[in-house]
Amino acid sequence: MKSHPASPTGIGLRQPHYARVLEERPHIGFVEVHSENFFHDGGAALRTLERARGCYPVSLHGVGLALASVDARSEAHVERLAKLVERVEPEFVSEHLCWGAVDGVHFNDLLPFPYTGEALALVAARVNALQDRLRRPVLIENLSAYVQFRDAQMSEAQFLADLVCLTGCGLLLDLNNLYVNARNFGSDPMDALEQLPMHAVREIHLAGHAVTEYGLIDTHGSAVCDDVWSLLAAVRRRGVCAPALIEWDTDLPELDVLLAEAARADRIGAVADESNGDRHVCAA
Amino acid sequence: MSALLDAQRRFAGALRSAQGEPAMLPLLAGDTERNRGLLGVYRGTAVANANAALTLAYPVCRQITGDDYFDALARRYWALAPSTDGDLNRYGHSFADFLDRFEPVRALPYLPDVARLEWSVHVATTAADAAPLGGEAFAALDPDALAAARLHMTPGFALLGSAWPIADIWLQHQPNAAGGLGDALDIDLGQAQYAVVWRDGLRVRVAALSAGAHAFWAAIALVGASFGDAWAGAAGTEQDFNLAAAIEQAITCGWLHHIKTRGQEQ
Repeated sequence: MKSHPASPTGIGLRQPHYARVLEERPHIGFVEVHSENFFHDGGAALRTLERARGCYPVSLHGVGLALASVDARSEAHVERLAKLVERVEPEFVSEHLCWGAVDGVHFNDLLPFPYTGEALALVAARVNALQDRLRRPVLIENLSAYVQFRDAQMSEAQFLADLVCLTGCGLLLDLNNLYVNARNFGSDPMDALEQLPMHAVREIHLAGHAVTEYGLIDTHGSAVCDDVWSLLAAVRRRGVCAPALIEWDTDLPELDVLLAEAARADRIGAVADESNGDRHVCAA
Repeated sequence: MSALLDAQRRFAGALRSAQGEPAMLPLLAGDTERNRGLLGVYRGTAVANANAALTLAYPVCRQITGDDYFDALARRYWALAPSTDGDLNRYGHSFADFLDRFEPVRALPYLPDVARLEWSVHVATTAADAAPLGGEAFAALDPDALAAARLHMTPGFALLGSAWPIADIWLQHQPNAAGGLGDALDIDLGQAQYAVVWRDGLRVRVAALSAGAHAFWAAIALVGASFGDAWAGAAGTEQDFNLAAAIEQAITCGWLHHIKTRGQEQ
């Protein structure tokens, strides 16, 4: 048995980079797009995604399902996602641990909720129904939350660990979100890492954040910070070989900047793998 | 009531308006003043996301009004007609109706119809890809069969009528327009105009239509009239209506998807 480095890092594919990525086909592990931006019957964007799918594995990252909304009315949304999944045959399908809609109004944002038994039952039922419809496991991402609820009965990490047990879903571990929350709420990000089931991590998100008067805000608009790179190394030391993804949505830089970040993530994966005394064997 | 639903309703109230904050704040852990500021951050994000979606769908309206005025319109529209769908690309379909009723916009009386045109363009952008019908389909039909036939348009095809020259305004505001962005409009604003929107491969095109051509294609695309009835209607609308030119334009531009003759109609 031999071990090998983590799967190669991917990048979030955004419109200003479509042409260069398709022409130059840089050496990246996969590309990720927001699912909702391709909920179309046809047109240029969908054509571009299908061309990208010819060059790379694709990850469909949802931002609109709002799984924890009590009043979600999301059946049509799930059907559009199912159609896209059928069309693209993605490597991953992911969504966020959040709510977003109530009483017919959708806030189109990733909103936090109290981590309670009631919420866990609801989200588990939604994730199970989603996986049944898509006939595949989905990945659920930990959230960057700026507020916490008094009535929370568990941590987000415990909630996600239970969700994995109840549904068999995978985790999309966003290390920037983990870091932002820990800094904003005065906790140690390593504590959250200890509570999360590392065996369920299928993808890792890396992104930058902004420092504001209200604390750190998850903007996806800057380079990955040193502390988050350290968290990646810590995750690799725990034997997680799931691929990382460079997420950059606002103030989008030249493609080369994203590729450099992806290369850096690849180096951390390889180094950690070799330096790990207790080598973890990843399934090919 | 479900505690989770109660929390989400209170959160929603604080997102819709700062007046909703007092009901939400007791649910949050930590410093109240800091939480008040953070709810403001969330409220700002919700408005900004809606504004960004509206800007994507209505770039010409944004150019016409200027950024600051458009941002104010977007905030007002969101307050009255927030998103109802997890896909923000669907947000904004009623923006033109909102502009119709919004008194301050009366200074830009053509804006609502320009918005209607832009929504048709927005919808056409993501319409299904379809191979257009070639001219040979007409040659195969005898005159009686053609008169009774019903034409079906390619996805994304849309017609609009306005008391304002909306096609010219839209064309003048495109990045490659002859006049260039920001130039004074070289348009007779007193001229009513019909506009047609269609998909040309992956691109969306807009053009002006004559009254006769509009009547002809509206009868076919919107009413489902037969070719013969549509022709009669168009000839009644515009004395000089040129049927051959209308068909040639439709074939050249790729407006037609298929023809159903009498035997094929359900």
